[in-house]
Amino acid sequence: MIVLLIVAFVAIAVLTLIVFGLLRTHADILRALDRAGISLDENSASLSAAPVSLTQPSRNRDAADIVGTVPGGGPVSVGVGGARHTLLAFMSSGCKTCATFWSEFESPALDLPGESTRLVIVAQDPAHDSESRLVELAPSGVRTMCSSAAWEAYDVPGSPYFVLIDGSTRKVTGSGTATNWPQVRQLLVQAIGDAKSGTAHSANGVSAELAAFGIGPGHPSLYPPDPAERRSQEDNE
Amino acid sequence: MSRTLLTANGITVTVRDGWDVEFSELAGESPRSLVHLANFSLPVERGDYGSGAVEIMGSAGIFMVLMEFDATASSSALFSGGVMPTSLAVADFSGHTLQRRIPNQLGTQRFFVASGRPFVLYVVLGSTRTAPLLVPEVNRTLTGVSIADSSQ
Repeated sequence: MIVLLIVAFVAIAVLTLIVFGLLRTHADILRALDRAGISLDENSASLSAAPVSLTQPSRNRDAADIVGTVPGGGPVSVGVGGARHTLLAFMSSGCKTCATFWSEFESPALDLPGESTRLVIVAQDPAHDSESRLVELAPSGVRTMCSSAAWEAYDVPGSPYFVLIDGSTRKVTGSGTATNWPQVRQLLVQAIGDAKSGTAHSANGVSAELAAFGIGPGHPSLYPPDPAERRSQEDNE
Repeated sequence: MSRTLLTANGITVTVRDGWDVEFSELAGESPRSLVHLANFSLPVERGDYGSGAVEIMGSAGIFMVLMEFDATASSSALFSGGVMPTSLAVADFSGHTLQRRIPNQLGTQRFFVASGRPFVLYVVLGSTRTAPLLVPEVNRTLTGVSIADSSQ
């Protein structure tokens, strides 16, 4: 009888451990799905329609070229330098908020802010996303690629997430997330405006510093003397 | 500084900063490789020899194609004896070599065999004026390309 009780106790203890283990695994999976922007709640589309956030956490950081694979294709590398902007749209095939962007990016009339801005959609590697679904979703004429390395390099917290790069400086102009294209566009316009005014502020700052030392427009120190004139001045001295 | 390498079907390309590179496969009895390299943004939809891309490249643009042919072609007179070029000269380029004639652009085409695989290298330069500056860039890019047996 005692032996039976002990066996039953041990069995209950083992089963309890197994149940706790399963619950923990389940929680880990839910957390991972949440991080990837995938909701299991069928009614969550309406909930996620609320703005997520518009931030610029990684502004002015260096931008790196993107290396990955084309969904259903071969290796690909995308350069982000040059006299243009590049908008990286980090998206997932299963995220409900991304669905609006996948269809928005199909539009030939898509209005991208910035200088000759190139849109590049970056999904996770096929090991972490559905490659066949990405092939279906990839908008025609828009570079779509898989690169988990890019997600890591740009510290992407989840999808959708957008990073705007100024190719002339190879710096991140702005980054953030939102739930629809008008919000993202507004963020990007604002980021470009901030970057431009930042440059203007720097220039104004230099002028202000010079003015503080009495150096303004027309001051002789701003114009190096003519070499011949300088020689005659040195001879006189 | 770490180098980025792209590899597929035995072809390895050292990716240069700011360049677009894309590997794809051509349909056929046996898969053949196609590699496009450009120092500008490659459009997603473009022809094997760059139609759709060469029209939008600027005067400083470089577009390069590495296209594999069927293995049986390697013994043909067109390919045999040719080696992959790595030191092209401005004189090697001409407007007559272009697959798609665009004013001021120059092109060159070289047939060769590497690791028993027949290839054509086709290069387009954005303009005659910038060619002396662009050709060394082409050669620098070519030195970063290696071709091995397709099983590797």
